[in-house]
Amino acid sequence: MRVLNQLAGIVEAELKALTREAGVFIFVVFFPFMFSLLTYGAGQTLTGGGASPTQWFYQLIGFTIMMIALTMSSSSAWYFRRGMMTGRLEYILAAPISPLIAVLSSALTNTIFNIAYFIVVAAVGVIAVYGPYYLVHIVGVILFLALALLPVIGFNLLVGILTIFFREPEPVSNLINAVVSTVSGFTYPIILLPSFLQTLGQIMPYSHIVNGARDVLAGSFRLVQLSPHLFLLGYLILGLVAFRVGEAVYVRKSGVHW
Amino acid sequence: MSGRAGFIGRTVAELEKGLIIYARYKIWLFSDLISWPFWTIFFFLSFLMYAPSLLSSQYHLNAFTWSFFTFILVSSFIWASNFLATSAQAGILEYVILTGSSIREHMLGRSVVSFIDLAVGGPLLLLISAVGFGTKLSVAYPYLMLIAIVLASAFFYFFSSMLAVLLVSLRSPWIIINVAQFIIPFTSGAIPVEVLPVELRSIITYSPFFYVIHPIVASATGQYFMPPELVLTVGGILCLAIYLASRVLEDVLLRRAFRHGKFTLF
Repeated sequence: MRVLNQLAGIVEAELKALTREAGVFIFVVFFPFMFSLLTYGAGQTLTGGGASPTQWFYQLIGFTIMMIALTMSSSSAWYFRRGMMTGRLEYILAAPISPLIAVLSSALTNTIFNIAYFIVVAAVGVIAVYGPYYLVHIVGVILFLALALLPVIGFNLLVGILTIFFREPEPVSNLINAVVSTVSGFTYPIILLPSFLQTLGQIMPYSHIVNGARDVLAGSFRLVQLSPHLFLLGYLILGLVAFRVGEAVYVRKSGVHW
Repeated sequence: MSGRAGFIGRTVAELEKGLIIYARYKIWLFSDLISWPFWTIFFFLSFLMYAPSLLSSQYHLNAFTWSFFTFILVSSFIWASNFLATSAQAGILEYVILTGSSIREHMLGRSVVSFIDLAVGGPLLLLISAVGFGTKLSVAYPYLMLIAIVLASAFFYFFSSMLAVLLVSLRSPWIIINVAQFIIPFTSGAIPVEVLPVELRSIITYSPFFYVIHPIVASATGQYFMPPELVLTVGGILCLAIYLASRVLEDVLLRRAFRHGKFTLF
């Protein structure tokens, strides 16, 4: 109960902090539209007007999930970095609260924020391409994302721990974001990639998330598509284990305890 | 120290500072070298998803490779405009002004990183395109290409100085920079003019950025939309204009800073 109270308290505080960042929200909502319209315009040009709205929708959803994946993958990294810069990390580690709860609360807040963000963008896309009738599928996507984003939290913890050792979140997250964006089929089918990059894309959770979200929105999702997600939960376990190990090493090196 | 010697001394100091900061974060170089190939593949395929058949057209592959080269150039320089806001937030800018250094000189320390990014990322992009996509790279007018790259680098150095002054008081200038790095090149000539619909071709010539971005792509493809002399002359005049504009804005910013005690134009 105490843990749940701590979790709820931090989530509430983090959500309040997010509401103060209106510019960030506007940017993340605007970005998938800007980029998908840019590539759609280029596509119209390249094909002599042959680009279809469903291709634009494919990329809109892809860019949206990509933004979610990128922000979620590096949120813990920034959390640690800010903590290390301000000296707050030592206080968190020394406080009578599990650091994992603090980090997970931050990740949970991001998940809530990102699902809300997805609803806004996807609703506009669905209405524009499929019509308002398909809006009901967004409920299914919320449920799907709530499950499918769990492995990303594990991934997030792994990147966060790397930040503790490399000390700089930007190069670490930049590298991981580049690989994730390229091999996950966010904006093009991964079949266009060389086979080893296709394999890498299928090992990571993101291609399954984006394809699943597209299928749910289009009404073609089958329950059997959930099976890879059960295996991908391994990332969550791996992230939790890596976090515990990294935390122990950092605590020992920095000499903080309570 | 004032006069020419002082200017040279401050400029060298800023360049040295930029190089030291860059060399201090070796992880950045490692990260850039690995991430550039991936971002290149990502952008290539995001655009070519609509027309995968173009992956077998050597002309289009070459043209798009140089399109993305301009994107790297614009992106490298435009991100430097984040630097001034960061300096102001960290409380460094006041000390920089006390040294008698100008904002443009201070920006030079960050812009040297942009030059390195371009020097590393640009050739790497060409290599990836050649190896990864089998592009037979060619430059129709090498001499004009050299002029075009120098012109665009100077233009975007001054432009990023101007943008930095405009964004100095924002808490999150990266939002605007992030949008601008895509909008500016891809609406101003990075996409080869000859593949655009006829009605769009003349519209993009109204963008001032067209006269510094188009020459790079056109020098590679050999398809100048206007006579090269005209495009490069207009580009040179715009470069001078943006330099003067950056000086005026910097003066205004400094006057306001001395009067009100904070760095903002608004």
